[in-house]
Amino acid sequence: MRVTDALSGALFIAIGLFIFQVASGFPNPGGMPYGASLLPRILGAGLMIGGGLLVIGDIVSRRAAGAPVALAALEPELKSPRGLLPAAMVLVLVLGHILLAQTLGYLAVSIIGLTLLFLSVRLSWSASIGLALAGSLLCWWLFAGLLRVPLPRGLLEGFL
Amino acid sequence: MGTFDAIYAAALLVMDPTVLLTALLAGMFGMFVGAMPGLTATMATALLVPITFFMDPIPALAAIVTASGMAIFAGDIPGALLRIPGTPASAAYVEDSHRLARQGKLNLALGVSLVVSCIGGLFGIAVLFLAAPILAEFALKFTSYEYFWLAALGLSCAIFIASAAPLKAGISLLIGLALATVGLDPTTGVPRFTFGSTNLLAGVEFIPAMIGLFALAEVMRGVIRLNSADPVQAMPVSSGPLFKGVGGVIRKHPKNILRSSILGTLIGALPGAGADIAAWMAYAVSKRFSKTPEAYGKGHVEGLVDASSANNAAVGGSWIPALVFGIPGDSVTAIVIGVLYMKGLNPGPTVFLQNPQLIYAVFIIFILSTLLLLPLGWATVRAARQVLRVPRRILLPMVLSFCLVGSFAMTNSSFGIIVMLALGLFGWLLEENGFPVAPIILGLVLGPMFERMFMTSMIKSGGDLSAFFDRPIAAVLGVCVLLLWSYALISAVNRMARKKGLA
Repeated sequence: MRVTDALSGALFIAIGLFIFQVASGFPNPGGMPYGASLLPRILGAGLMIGGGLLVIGDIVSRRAAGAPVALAALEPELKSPRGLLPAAMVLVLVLGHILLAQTLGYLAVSIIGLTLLFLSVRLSWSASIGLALAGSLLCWWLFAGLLRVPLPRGLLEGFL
Repeated sequence: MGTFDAIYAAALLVMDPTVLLTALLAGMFGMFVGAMPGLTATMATALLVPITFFMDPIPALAAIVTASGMAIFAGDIPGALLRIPGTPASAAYVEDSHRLARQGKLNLALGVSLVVSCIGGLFGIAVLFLAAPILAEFALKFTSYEYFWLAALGLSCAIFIASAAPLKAGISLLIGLALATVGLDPTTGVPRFTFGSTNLLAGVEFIPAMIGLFALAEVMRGVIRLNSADPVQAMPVSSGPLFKGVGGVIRKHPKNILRSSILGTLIGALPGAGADIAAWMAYAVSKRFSKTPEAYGKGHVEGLVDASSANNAAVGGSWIPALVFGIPGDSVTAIVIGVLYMKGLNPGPTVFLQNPQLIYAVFIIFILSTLLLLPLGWATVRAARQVLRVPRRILLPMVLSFCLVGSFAMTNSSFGIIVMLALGLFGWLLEENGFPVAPIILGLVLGPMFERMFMTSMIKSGGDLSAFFDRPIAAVLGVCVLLLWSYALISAVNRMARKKGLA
């Protein structure tokens, strides 16, 4: 999504204000005038100033150009299912690993998610399933086997 | 034991078939890990530690030295091919090497990078060999004021590396620094921005963050365009020998190599500053002094020469304080110090007196591993070029798969994946709107040191800011930082005035 500098500037002002507000609640160690809140508050203030400069710069250049511009615009690719579907499948795969891997296991989530992602970028069924199997098993062998990373086993607990 | 006896004893220790084979295998491992996007030299070293636990000190050190040096170079390979730096030390010039690859000069980019890495590495070792005690003593005299300014200088570089939009780069840097404040405050122990999450107490893990910002964002950008009518232009594969044209580039920039090797070694020798900062600083210095600063970030070989020699020089440099005083120069040497303690060899001045052959053995291993860089690097580049023949619709999902397991491996929980996802989406949005993401990583990496030094200095001086300029070296560094900033502000005001004049 592309947004104008005025909008992103406003967003950074909001983030800066939020950081400043939350940080102001951090306690200072016994009687000292500064502590854990000092740097976050400087950073928050910096973000507010930077965001403000973005807004001002955008308004000035807009006035010079004189043409109205939309505040936000979606990438043309994301407006059609051609681009939207693969992007959605990337999110499905990542979220699947976060939410389902503990119960279903790494291999199940990875094989199903990768197959869907390959299908969404228009590979054939056989190629999608084959590549998803190969990719998932390779990662499993490399990380769980060689590098001893405790990837969740899920349904396969006791078999592997 | 005399120096020559010690060197002879060290050579006998190293020229053992077991040691040489260990170094070769560890080098191949380092090449592999460094070439995988998102896996860092630090990770290569950390993964080796359980294995080196079962080895004698010399093969253990050989494994770590070789693997970390290889991984630093190998990080350039995915940087050039996929615009994903394999290690943070390659992030400074990833834009240049990738654009060179897109112009069909992949072999030139990687060949130059390989040869100058080797030269920079050898320079770093020479300094380590000759000047280790003197330099470390110099760095030891630094207090929190000097470290604060040094960190500030590194952070300021993030803004000057970003090409056209210093304001947007500055905002990115502030975001990175703010992310670095998440977790337990190192000075007072107060939890900050954790919102009740125990995972966040340890802070935002920077490797999943880097995988997200550089890799996931790249995957997102790539997949939405895969099915479009005009496919992404395939990268032209350059044929011919890898080292063709490299000699010309090196003959053209001998001063750059020397300057960046010195800079890289010095930065590496400073505790807490390693190959990453060396590459950023060398790149920024190179851009400042270049006759063609406008070409940087657009596929220019000069910045590549500087930053690539500096990051390998820093590897040698970072061992100076580690060996002489037991202070880690970067995360790799921090792990090494742990290994030395495990072996009952306490690093520090006493090692030089009691086990000088061990120190010289490390030096010899260093020289061997740097020379090994050329054949192993050549082979890895050859193999990595097969990646180009894999269609993007197969490659991108596979890259995503590696990102997922890599992020998981850093925390051994799905928290790493959550960090990767959040920062990946955020970084994608930022880049679509012209905000560079590299300063976020720099802020995240340098942030903790920057804040610790700042707070320590503030507490020592009782809030008196003039104390930051009281000591001579601190004053020089501080003036450098202030000059950089005033220069940036003045040129920004000038630009605005010129724009108004045109309108």
